[in-house]
Amino acid sequence: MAHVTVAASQKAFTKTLDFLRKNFRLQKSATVKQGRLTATYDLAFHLENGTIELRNDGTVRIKELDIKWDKLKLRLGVDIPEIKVGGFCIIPNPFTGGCAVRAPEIKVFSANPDITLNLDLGSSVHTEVSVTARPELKYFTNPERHPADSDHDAREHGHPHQWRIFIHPSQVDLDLFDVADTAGDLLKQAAEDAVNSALGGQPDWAKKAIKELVGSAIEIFRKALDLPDDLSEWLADLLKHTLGLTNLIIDAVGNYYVNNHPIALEDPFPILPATQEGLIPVLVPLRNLSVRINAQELVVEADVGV
Amino acid sequence: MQGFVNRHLFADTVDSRALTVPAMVFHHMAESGEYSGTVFQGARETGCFRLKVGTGPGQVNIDLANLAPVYEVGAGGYAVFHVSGGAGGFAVVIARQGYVFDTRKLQAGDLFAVTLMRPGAYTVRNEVTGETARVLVAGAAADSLAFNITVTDQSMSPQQVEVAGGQGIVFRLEAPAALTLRPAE
Repeated sequence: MAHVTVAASQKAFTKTLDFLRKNFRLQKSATVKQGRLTATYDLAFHLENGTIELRNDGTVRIKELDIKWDKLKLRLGVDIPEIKVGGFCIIPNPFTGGCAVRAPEIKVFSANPDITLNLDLGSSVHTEVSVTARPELKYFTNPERHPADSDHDAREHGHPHQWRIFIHPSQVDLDLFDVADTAGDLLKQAAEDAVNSALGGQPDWAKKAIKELVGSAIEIFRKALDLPDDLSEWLADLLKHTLGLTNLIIDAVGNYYVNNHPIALEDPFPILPATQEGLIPVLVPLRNLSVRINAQELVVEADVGV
Repeated sequence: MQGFVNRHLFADTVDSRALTVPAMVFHHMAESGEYSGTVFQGARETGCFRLKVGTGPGQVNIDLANLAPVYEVGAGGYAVFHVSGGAGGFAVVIARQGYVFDTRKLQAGDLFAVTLMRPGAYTVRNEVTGETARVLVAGAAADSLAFNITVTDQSMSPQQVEVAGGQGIVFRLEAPAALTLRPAE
Protein backbone atom coordinates (compact mmCIF):
# COMPACT_ATOMS: atom_id res chain seq x y z
CA MET A 1 0.00 0.00 0.00
CA ALA A 2 1.38 3.44 -0.96
CA HIS A 3 2.52 5.75 1.79
CA VAL A 4 1.53 8.93 -0.08
CA THR A 5 -1.40 9.59 -2.39
CA VAL A 6 -1.85 12.82 -4.32
CA ALA A 7 -4.80 13.50 -6.54
CA ALA A 8 -5.50 16.15 -9.13
CA SER A 9 -8.99 16.75 -10.43
CA GLN A 10 -10.10 17.37 -13.97
CA LYS A 11 -10.21 21.07 -13.18
CA ALA A 12 -6.51 21.04 -12.44
CA PHE A 13 -5.88 19.62 -15.89
CA THR A 14 -7.45 22.63 -17.41
CA LYS A 15 -4.18 24.37 -16.62
CA THR A 16 -2.32 22.10 -19.00
CA LEU A 17 -4.82 22.93 -21.73
CA ASP A 18 -4.45 26.62 -20.96
CA PHE A 19 -0.70 26.26 -21.25
CA LEU A 20 -1.07 24.57 -24.62
CA ARG A 21 -3.37 27.26 -25.94
CA LYS A 22 -1.18 30.04 -24.62
CA ASN A 23 2.22 28.74 -25.66
CA PHE A 24 1.88 26.52 -28.67
CA ARG A 25 2.89 28.23 -31.91
CA LEU A 26 4.04 26.66 -35.14
CA GLN A 27 5.61 28.47 -38.05
CA LYS A 28 6.85 26.69 -41.16
CA SER A 29 7.34 27.01 -44.91
CA ALA A 30 8.19 24.37 -47.49
CA THR A 31 7.97 23.63 -51.23
CA VAL A 32 6.66 20.54 -52.98
CA LYS A 33 6.90 19.82 -56.70
CA GLN A 34 4.41 17.54 -58.42
CA GLY A 35 4.22 17.38 -62.21
CA ARG A 36 3.51 20.81 -63.61
CA LEU A 37 2.83 22.22 -60.16
CA THR A 38 5.31 23.68 -57.68
CA ALA A 39 3.51 24.50 -54.44
CA THR A 40 5.00 26.53 -51.59
CA TYR A 41 3.26 27.12 -48.27
CA ASP A 42 4.08 29.64 -45.57
CA LEU A 43 2.05 29.02 -42.45
CA ALA A 44 1.71 29.86 -38.79
CA PHE A 45 -0.95 28.70 -36.35
CA HIS A 46 -1.88 28.55 -32.69
CA LEU A 47 -4.57 26.67 -30.78
CA GLU A 48 -7.84 27.85 -29.27
CA ASN A 49 -10.85 26.43 -27.45
CA GLY A 50 -11.06 22.71 -26.78
CA THR A 51 -12.19 20.74 -23.73
CA ILE A 52 -10.28 18.29 -21.55
CA GLU A 53 -11.68 15.06 -20.15
CA LEU A 54 -10.25 12.44 -17.83
CA ARG A 55 -11.39 8.91 -18.70
CA ASN A 56 -11.74 5.60 -16.93
CA ASP A 57 -9.50 3.90 -19.48
CA GLY A 58 -6.58 5.81 -18.02
CA THR A 59 -6.35 8.42 -20.73
CA VAL A 60 -6.79 12.16 -21.01
CA ARG A 61 -8.76 13.37 -23.99
CA ILE A 62 -8.55 16.89 -25.41
CA LYS A 63 -11.34 17.50 -27.89
CA GLU A 64 -12.37 20.14 -30.40
CA LEU A 65 -9.10 22.00 -30.26
CA ASP A 66 -9.32 24.66 -32.98
CA ILE A 67 -6.36 25.45 -35.14
CA LYS A 68 -6.31 29.19 -35.71
CA TRP A 69 -4.34 30.13 -38.76
CA ASP A 70 -2.25 33.23 -38.14
CA LYS A 71 -0.98 32.78 -41.67
CA LEU A 72 -1.72 30.26 -44.42
CA LYS A 73 -0.27 31.47 -47.69
CA LEU A 74 0.05 29.34 -50.74
CA ARG A 75 2.09 30.05 -53.83
CA LEU A 76 1.35 27.83 -56.84
CA GLY A 77 3.81 27.86 -59.71
CA VAL A 78 2.32 26.27 -62.81
CA ASP A 79 4.23 25.22 -65.91
CA ILE A 80 1.78 26.12 -68.66
CA PRO A 81 1.90 23.83 -71.70
CA GLU A 82 2.58 25.35 -75.10
CA ILE A 83 -0.29 27.26 -76.68
CA LYS A 84 -0.25 27.39 -80.46
CA VAL A 85 -2.29 28.63 -83.42
CA GLY A 86 -2.14 27.49 -87.03
CA GLY A 87 -1.94 23.85 -88.00
CA PHE A 88 -4.88 24.30 -90.36
CA CYS A 89 -5.25 22.14 -93.44
CA ILE A 90 -3.90 23.59 -96.68
CA ILE A 91 -4.54 20.67 -99.03
CA PRO A 92 -7.02 17.97 -98.08
CA ASN A 93 -6.28 14.37 -98.92
CA PRO A 94 -9.07 13.31 -101.29
CA PHE A 95 -8.43 9.62 -100.72
CA THR A 96 -8.39 9.46 -96.94
CA GLY A 97 -10.45 12.53 -96.11
CA GLY A 98 -7.59 13.72 -93.94
CA CYS A 99 -5.05 16.42 -94.67
CA ALA A 100 -2.18 16.06 -97.14
CA VAL A 101 -0.49 19.39 -96.41
CA ARG A 102 -0.92 21.29 -93.17
CA ALA A 103 0.26 24.75 -92.06
CA PRO A 104 2.97 24.69 -89.37
CA GLU A 105 1.81 25.65 -85.88
CA ILE A 106 2.93 28.95 -84.37
CA LYS A 107 3.62 29.35 -80.66
CA VAL A 108 1.61 32.07 -78.95
CA PHE A 109 4.22 32.37 -76.23
CA SER A 110 7.83 32.70 -77.32
CA ALA A 111 8.92 31.00 -74.09
CA ASN A 112 6.79 28.82 -71.85
CA PRO A 113 5.76 30.95 -68.92
CA ASP A 114 5.70 29.61 -65.39
CA ILE A 115 2.71 31.43 -64.03
CA THR A 116 2.45 31.94 -60.29
CA LEU A 117 -0.75 32.14 -58.28
CA ASN A 118 -0.75 33.61 -54.79
CA LEU A 119 -3.46 32.59 -52.33
CA ASP A 120 -4.14 33.70 -48.79
CA LEU A 121 -6.25 30.93 -47.27
CA GLY A 122 -6.05 31.83 -43.58
CA SER A 123 -9.73 32.68 -43.31
CA SER A 124 -10.90 29.91 -45.64
CA VAL A 125 -9.65 26.86 -43.78
CA HIS A 126 -11.28 25.52 -40.62
CA THR A 127 -9.34 22.87 -38.73
CA GLU A 128 -9.84 20.94 -35.49
CA VAL A 129 -7.70 18.38 -33.71
CA SER A 130 -8.20 16.05 -30.78
CA VAL A 131 -5.58 14.43 -28.60
CA THR A 132 -5.68 11.22 -26.57
CA ALA A 133 -2.85 11.01 -24.05
CA ARG A 134 -1.53 8.89 -21.20
CA PRO A 135 0.54 10.02 -18.26
CA GLU A 136 4.26 9.40 -18.40
CA LEU A 137 6.57 9.70 -15.40
CA LYS A 138 10.12 11.05 -15.55
CA TYR A 139 12.55 12.06 -12.83
CA PHE A 140 14.15 15.48 -13.20
CA THR A 141 17.56 15.93 -11.58
CA ASN A 142 17.82 19.69 -11.31
CA PRO A 143 21.23 20.80 -12.67
CA GLU A 144 20.90 24.11 -10.87
CA ARG A 145 20.80 22.52 -7.45
CA HIS A 146 24.15 23.16 -5.74
CA PRO A 147 25.83 19.90 -4.63
CA ALA A 148 26.29 21.33 -1.13
CA ASP A 149 22.63 22.34 -0.76
CA SER A 150 20.41 20.44 1.63
CA ASP A 151 16.89 19.51 0.54
CA HIS A 152 15.57 22.56 2.38
CA ASP A 153 18.24 24.80 0.82
CA ALA A 154 17.38 23.54 -2.63
CA ARG A 155 13.71 24.20 -1.99
CA GLU A 156 14.43 27.66 -0.68
CA HIS A 157 16.59 28.47 -3.71
CA GLY A 158 13.92 27.18 -6.07
CA HIS A 159 15.99 24.29 -7.43
CA PRO A 160 14.55 21.07 -6.06
CA HIS A 161 14.65 17.80 -7.94
CA GLN A 162 11.27 16.77 -9.26
CA TRP A 163 9.08 13.94 -10.33
CA ARG A 164 7.45 15.07 -13.53
CA ILE A 165 4.27 13.71 -15.03
CA PHE A 166 3.99 14.40 -18.75
CA ILE A 167 0.82 14.10 -20.74
CA HIS A 168 2.10 11.94 -23.54
CA PRO A 169 -0.12 11.85 -26.65
CA SER A 170 -0.81 8.37 -27.87
CA GLN A 171 -3.04 9.59 -30.67
CA VAL A 172 -3.64 12.91 -32.39
CA ASP A 173 -6.52 13.11 -34.84
CA LEU A 174 -7.27 15.78 -37.38
CA ASP A 175 -11.03 15.80 -36.91
CA LEU A 176 -11.82 18.58 -39.31
CA PHE A 177 -10.02 20.11 -42.27
CA ASP A 178 -12.58 22.12 -44.13
CA VAL A 179 -11.79 24.44 -47.01
CA ALA A 180 -14.61 26.88 -47.62
CA ASP A 181 -16.21 27.08 -51.05
CA THR A 182 -15.00 30.66 -51.23
CA ALA A 183 -11.45 29.32 -51.56
CA GLY A 184 -12.39 28.18 -55.05
CA ASP A 185 -13.30 31.76 -55.88
CA LEU A 186 -9.97 32.90 -54.48
CA LEU A 187 -8.23 30.45 -56.79
CA LYS A 188 -10.10 31.75 -59.83
CA GLN A 189 -9.22 35.34 -58.99
CA ALA A 190 -5.60 34.41 -58.37
CA ALA A 191 -5.51 32.70 -61.78
CA GLU A 192 -6.94 35.81 -63.41
CA ASP A 193 -4.36 38.01 -61.67
CA ALA A 194 -1.54 35.66 -62.65
CA VAL A 195 -2.48 35.56 -66.34
CA ASN A 196 -2.90 39.33 -66.47
CA SER A 197 0.53 39.68 -64.94
CA ALA A 198 2.04 37.25 -67.47
CA LEU A 199 0.54 39.21 -70.34
CA GLY A 200 2.11 42.27 -68.82
CA GLY A 201 2.45 45.21 -71.17
CA GLN A 202 0.45 43.68 -74.00
CA PRO A 203 -2.35 45.88 -75.38
CA ASP A 204 -5.85 44.98 -74.28
CA TRP A 205 -6.81 43.55 -77.67
CA ALA A 206 -3.85 41.13 -77.50
CA LYS A 207 -4.78 40.03 -73.99
CA LYS A 208 -8.35 39.55 -75.11
CA ALA A 209 -7.27 37.56 -78.17
CA ILE A 210 -5.05 35.28 -76.11
CA LYS A 211 -7.74 34.72 -73.53
CA GLU A 212 -10.24 33.92 -76.25
CA LEU A 213 -7.77 31.40 -77.66
CA VAL A 214 -7.07 29.59 -74.46
CA GLY A 215 -10.24 30.16 -72.50
CA SER A 216 -10.55 31.85 -69.15
CA ALA A 217 -7.56 32.06 -66.83
CA ILE A 218 -8.88 29.26 -64.65
CA GLU A 219 -9.36 27.09 -67.75
CA ILE A 220 -5.65 27.42 -68.47
CA PHE A 221 -4.92 26.00 -65.05
CA ARG A 222 -7.65 23.38 -65.24
CA LYS A 223 -6.02 21.98 -68.37
CA ALA A 224 -2.43 22.36 -67.12
CA LEU A 225 -3.14 20.69 -63.77
CA ASP A 226 -6.15 18.53 -64.67
CA LEU A 227 -8.22 20.24 -61.99
CA PRO A 228 -11.60 18.80 -61.02
CA ASP A 229 -14.80 20.84 -60.98
CA ASP A 230 -14.70 21.40 -57.23
CA LEU A 231 -11.71 23.69 -56.72
CA SER A 232 -12.18 23.88 -52.95
CA GLU A 233 -11.96 20.10 -52.68
CA TRP A 234 -8.82 20.15 -54.80
CA LEU A 235 -7.28 22.79 -52.53
CA ALA A 236 -8.18 20.74 -49.46
CA ASP A 237 -6.52 17.67 -50.92
CA LEU A 238 -3.47 19.70 -51.93
CA LEU A 239 -3.07 21.11 -48.43
CA LYS A 240 -3.79 17.91 -46.52
CA HIS A 241 -1.93 15.35 -48.57
CA THR A 242 0.31 16.81 -51.27
CA LEU A 243 1.72 19.47 -48.93
CA GLY A 244 1.42 17.15 -45.93
CA LEU A 245 -0.32 19.55 -43.57
CA THR A 246 -2.25 16.70 -41.94
CA ASN A 247 0.93 15.03 -40.75
CA LEU A 248 2.58 18.35 -39.96
CA ILE A 249 -0.25 19.35 -37.62
CA ILE A 250 -0.51 15.93 -35.98
CA ASP A 251 3.24 15.70 -35.39
CA ALA A 252 3.55 19.27 -34.13
CA VAL A 253 0.68 19.02 -31.65
CA GLY A 254 1.66 15.54 -30.59
CA ASN A 255 5.32 16.38 -30.05
CA TYR A 256 4.53 19.56 -28.16
CA TYR A 257 3.28 17.83 -25.08
CA VAL A 258 6.03 15.28 -24.90
CA ASN A 259 8.57 17.54 -23.28
CA ASN A 260 6.49 20.50 -22.19
CA HIS A 261 4.65 21.49 -19.04
CA PRO A 262 4.58 18.52 -16.87
CA ILE A 263 2.73 18.25 -13.60
CA ALA A 264 5.67 18.50 -11.21
CA LEU A 265 6.09 17.05 -7.73
CA GLU A 266 9.06 18.15 -5.68
CA ASP A 267 11.34 15.50 -4.39
CA PRO A 268 11.50 15.38 -1.44
CA PHE A 269 7.80 16.30 -1.25
CA PRO A 270 6.55 18.80 1.39
CA ILE A 271 3.89 16.84 3.23
CA LEU A 272 3.63 19.49 5.92
CA PRO A 273 4.20 23.18 5.23
CA ALA A 274 6.30 25.53 7.28
CA THR A 275 4.43 27.07 10.25
CA GLN A 276 4.13 30.60 11.45
CA GLU A 277 5.79 29.53 14.64
CA GLY A 278 8.94 28.92 12.69
CA LEU A 279 8.83 25.21 12.06
CA ILE A 280 10.34 24.27 8.72
CA PRO A 281 8.33 22.22 6.23
CA VAL A 282 8.42 18.48 6.53
CA LEU A 283 9.93 16.95 3.42
CA VAL A 284 9.72 13.27 2.55
CA PRO A 285 11.45 11.56 -0.35
CA LEU A 286 9.14 9.91 -2.86
CA ARG A 287 9.95 6.54 -4.34
CA ASN A 288 8.15 4.05 -6.58
CA LEU A 289 5.74 6.57 -8.03
CA SER A 290 2.84 5.36 -10.04
CA VAL A 291 0.20 7.35 -11.87
CA ARG A 292 -3.31 6.42 -12.81
CA ILE A 293 -6.25 8.26 -14.26
CA ASN A 294 -9.96 7.72 -13.85
CA ALA A 295 -12.95 9.77 -14.88
CA GLN A 296 -12.67 11.99 -11.79
CA GLU A 297 -8.98 12.55 -11.16
CA LEU A 298 -5.35 11.80 -11.72
CA VAL A 299 -3.91 9.89 -8.77
CA VAL A 300 -0.23 9.70 -7.93
CA GLU A 301 0.88 7.13 -5.39
CA ALA A 302 4.32 6.78 -3.92
CA ASP A 303 6.30 5.21 -1.16
CA VAL A 304 8.20 7.30 1.28
CA GLY A 305 11.78 6.21 1.22
CA VAL A 306 15.40 7.21 1.29
CA MET B 1 6.74 38.60 -68.26
CA GLN B 2 6.19 40.69 -71.43
CA GLY B 3 8.84 38.67 -73.25
CA PHE B 4 6.74 35.56 -72.95
CA VAL B 5 4.31 36.55 -75.70
CA ASN B 6 5.41 35.87 -79.29
CA ARG B 7 4.78 39.48 -80.22
CA HIS B 8 5.69 38.97 -83.86
CA LEU B 9 2.64 36.75 -84.17
CA PHE B 10 0.53 39.85 -83.51
CA ALA B 11 1.88 41.90 -86.43
CA ASP B 12 -0.80 43.71 -88.38
CA THR B 13 1.07 43.91 -91.68
CA VAL B 14 2.01 40.93 -93.82
CA ASP B 15 3.89 40.74 -97.12
CA SER B 16 4.44 37.57 -99.15
CA ARG B 17 7.72 39.07 -100.40
CA ALA B 18 9.10 39.36 -96.86
CA LEU B 19 7.89 36.45 -94.78
CA THR B 20 7.23 36.93 -91.07
CA VAL B 21 5.70 34.81 -88.30
CA PRO B 22 2.06 35.11 -89.45
CA ALA B 23 2.86 34.32 -93.12
CA MET B 24 4.02 31.22 -95.01
CA VAL B 25 4.44 30.08 -98.59
CA PHE B 26 3.66 26.61 -99.98
CA HIS B 27 5.44 25.61 -103.20
CA HIS B 28 4.76 22.41 -105.13
CA MET B 29 7.98 20.45 -105.83
CA ALA B 30 7.08 18.43 -108.89
CA GLU B 31 10.51 17.42 -110.19
CA SER B 32 12.96 15.16 -108.37
CA GLY B 33 16.47 16.37 -107.82
CA GLU B 34 18.64 18.36 -105.49
CA TYR B 35 17.93 22.10 -105.22
CA SER B 36 20.01 24.85 -103.67
CA GLY B 37 18.20 27.26 -101.41
CA THR B 38 19.24 30.79 -100.45
CA VAL B 39 17.56 32.90 -97.78
CA PHE B 40 17.49 36.69 -97.85
CA GLN B 41 16.50 39.44 -95.47
CA GLY B 42 16.05 42.39 -97.74
CA ALA B 43 19.09 42.33 -100.02
CA ARG B 44 21.25 40.56 -97.46
CA GLU B 45 21.85 36.83 -97.78
CA THR B 46 21.31 35.22 -94.38
CA GLY B 47 21.60 31.50 -95.01
CA CYS B 48 21.52 28.61 -97.46
CA PHE B 49 20.36 24.99 -97.56
CA ARG B 50 19.91 22.01 -99.85
CA LEU B 51 16.50 20.62 -100.69
CA LYS B 52 16.39 17.02 -101.91
CA VAL B 53 13.24 16.14 -103.79
CA GLY B 54 12.62 12.49 -104.45
CA THR B 55 11.49 9.95 -101.92
CA GLY B 56 10.31 11.51 -98.71
CA PRO B 57 7.28 12.93 -96.96
CA GLY B 58 4.59 14.89 -98.76
CA GLN B 59 5.55 18.07 -96.93
CA VAL B 60 8.73 19.64 -95.56
CA ASN B 61 8.61 22.65 -93.24
CA ILE B 62 11.58 24.98 -93.71
CA ASP B 63 11.87 27.42 -90.81
CA LEU B 64 13.68 30.44 -92.18
CA ALA B 65 14.54 31.59 -88.66
CA ASN B 66 16.18 28.25 -87.82
CA LEU B 67 17.67 26.75 -90.97
CA ALA B 68 18.97 23.20 -91.24
CA PRO B 69 21.58 22.34 -93.87
CA VAL B 70 19.48 19.75 -95.73
CA TYR B 71 15.77 19.10 -96.20
CA GLU B 72 13.96 16.28 -97.97
CA VAL B 73 10.52 16.05 -99.52
CA GLY B 74 8.81 13.57 -101.79
CA ALA B 75 8.41 14.42 -105.48
CA GLY B 76 5.01 16.03 -105.83
CA GLY B 77 5.08 17.20 -102.25
CA TYR B 78 5.21 20.71 -100.88
CA ALA B 79 8.04 22.82 -99.50
CA VAL B 80 6.61 25.11 -96.80
CA PHE B 81 8.59 28.26 -96.05
CA HIS B 82 7.69 29.75 -92.65
CA VAL B 83 9.14 31.78 -89.77
CA SER B 84 8.87 30.51 -86.19
CA GLY B 85 9.98 33.67 -84.39
CA GLY B 86 11.77 36.97 -84.57
CA ALA B 87 11.23 39.95 -86.82
CA GLY B 88 11.51 37.89 -90.03
CA GLY B 89 11.24 39.64 -93.37
CA PHE B 90 12.68 36.63 -95.23
CA ALA B 91 12.62 35.68 -98.89
CA VAL B 92 13.80 32.39 -100.39
CA VAL B 93 15.17 31.42 -103.78
CA ILE B 94 15.51 27.75 -104.70
CA ALA B 95 17.21 26.79 -107.95
CA ARG B 96 18.27 23.77 -109.96
CA GLN B 97 19.46 23.46 -113.53
CA GLY B 98 17.78 26.59 -114.80
CA TYR B 99 14.72 26.16 -112.64
CA VAL B 100 14.23 28.99 -110.19
CA PHE B 101 11.52 29.62 -107.58
CA ASP B 102 11.52 32.95 -105.76
CA THR B 103 9.04 33.63 -102.91
CA ARG B 104 9.11 37.29 -103.95
CA LYS B 105 7.44 36.29 -107.21
CA LEU B 106 4.73 33.78 -106.45
CA GLN B 107 3.33 31.88 -109.41
CA ALA B 108 0.15 30.03 -110.27
CA GLY B 109 -0.07 26.90 -108.15
CA ASP B 110 1.63 28.49 -105.15
CA LEU B 111 -0.26 29.02 -101.91
CA PHE B 112 0.20 31.82 -99.42
CA ALA B 113 -1.26 31.36 -95.92
CA VAL B 114 -1.69 33.95 -93.19
CA THR B 115 -2.69 33.80 -89.51
CA LEU B 116 -3.89 37.17 -88.24
CA MET B 117 -4.37 37.72 -84.51
CA ARG B 118 -5.16 41.40 -84.28
CA PRO B 119 -8.85 42.23 -84.60
CA GLY B 120 -9.85 44.68 -87.29
CA ALA B 121 -10.39 45.17 -91.00
CA TYR B 122 -7.56 44.49 -93.42
CA THR B 123 -7.04 45.28 -97.09
CA VAL B 124 -5.45 42.52 -99.12
CA ARG B 125 -3.69 43.80 -102.22
CA ASN B 126 -2.06 41.92 -105.08
CA GLU B 127 0.89 44.18 -105.76
CA VAL B 128 1.23 42.62 -109.26
CA THR B 129 -2.29 43.46 -110.50
CA GLY B 130 -3.53 46.04 -108.01
CA GLU B 131 -6.59 43.91 -107.20
CA THR B 132 -7.82 44.04 -103.59
CA ALA B 133 -9.99 42.12 -101.16
CA ARG B 134 -11.03 42.60 -97.54
CA VAL B 135 -10.45 40.49 -94.45
CA LEU B 136 -12.30 41.09 -91.19
CA VAL B 137 -10.79 39.66 -88.01
CA ALA B 138 -12.95 39.51 -84.89
CA GLY B 139 -12.31 37.62 -81.64
CA ALA B 140 -10.02 34.64 -81.52
CA ALA B 141 -10.46 30.89 -81.83
CA ALA B 142 -8.29 27.92 -81.05
CA ASP B 143 -9.73 25.75 -83.82
CA SER B 144 -7.86 24.97 -87.04
CA LEU B 145 -10.31 26.32 -89.57
CA ALA B 146 -9.05 28.04 -92.72
CA PHE B 147 -10.75 30.25 -95.24
CA ASN B 148 -9.80 30.31 -98.93
CA ILE B 149 -9.36 33.21 -101.31
CA THR B 150 -8.66 32.49 -104.98
CA VAL B 151 -6.30 34.94 -106.67
CA THR B 152 -6.43 35.37 -110.45
CA ASP B 153 -4.92 37.98 -112.70
CA GLN B 154 -8.18 39.89 -112.59
CA SER B 155 -9.67 39.48 -109.18
CA MET B 156 -9.68 37.94 -105.74
CA SER B 157 -12.63 35.79 -104.75
CA PRO B 158 -14.40 36.05 -102.38
CA GLN B 159 -13.96 39.79 -102.03
CA GLN B 160 -14.38 39.59 -98.28
CA VAL B 161 -13.89 36.94 -95.62
CA GLU B 162 -14.58 37.10 -91.92
CA VAL B 163 -12.29 35.13 -89.63
CA ALA B 164 -11.50 34.80 -85.96
CA GLY B 165 -7.99 35.60 -84.79
CA GLY B 166 -5.82 32.51 -85.09
CA GLN B 167 -7.77 31.01 -87.97
CA GLY B 168 -6.03 30.59 -91.33
CA ILE B 169 -6.53 32.51 -94.56
CA VAL B 170 -5.20 30.62 -97.58
CA PHE B 171 -4.63 32.44 -100.85
CA ARG B 172 -4.70 29.98 -103.78
CA LEU B 173 -2.89 31.50 -106.67
CA GLU B 174 -4.02 31.00 -110.25
CA ALA B 175 -1.75 33.78 -111.51
CA PRO B 176 1.47 35.53 -110.46
CA ALA B 177 1.02 37.51 -107.29
CA ALA B 178 2.71 39.41 -104.51
CA LEU B 179 0.25 39.81 -101.62
CA THR B 180 0.17 42.31 -98.81
CA LEU B 181 -2.26 42.69 -95.94
CA ARG B 182 -2.50 45.97 -94.07
CA PRO B 183 -5.04 47.53 -91.72
CA ALA B 184 -7.82 49.02 -93.82
CA GLU B 185 -7.86 52.80 -93.97
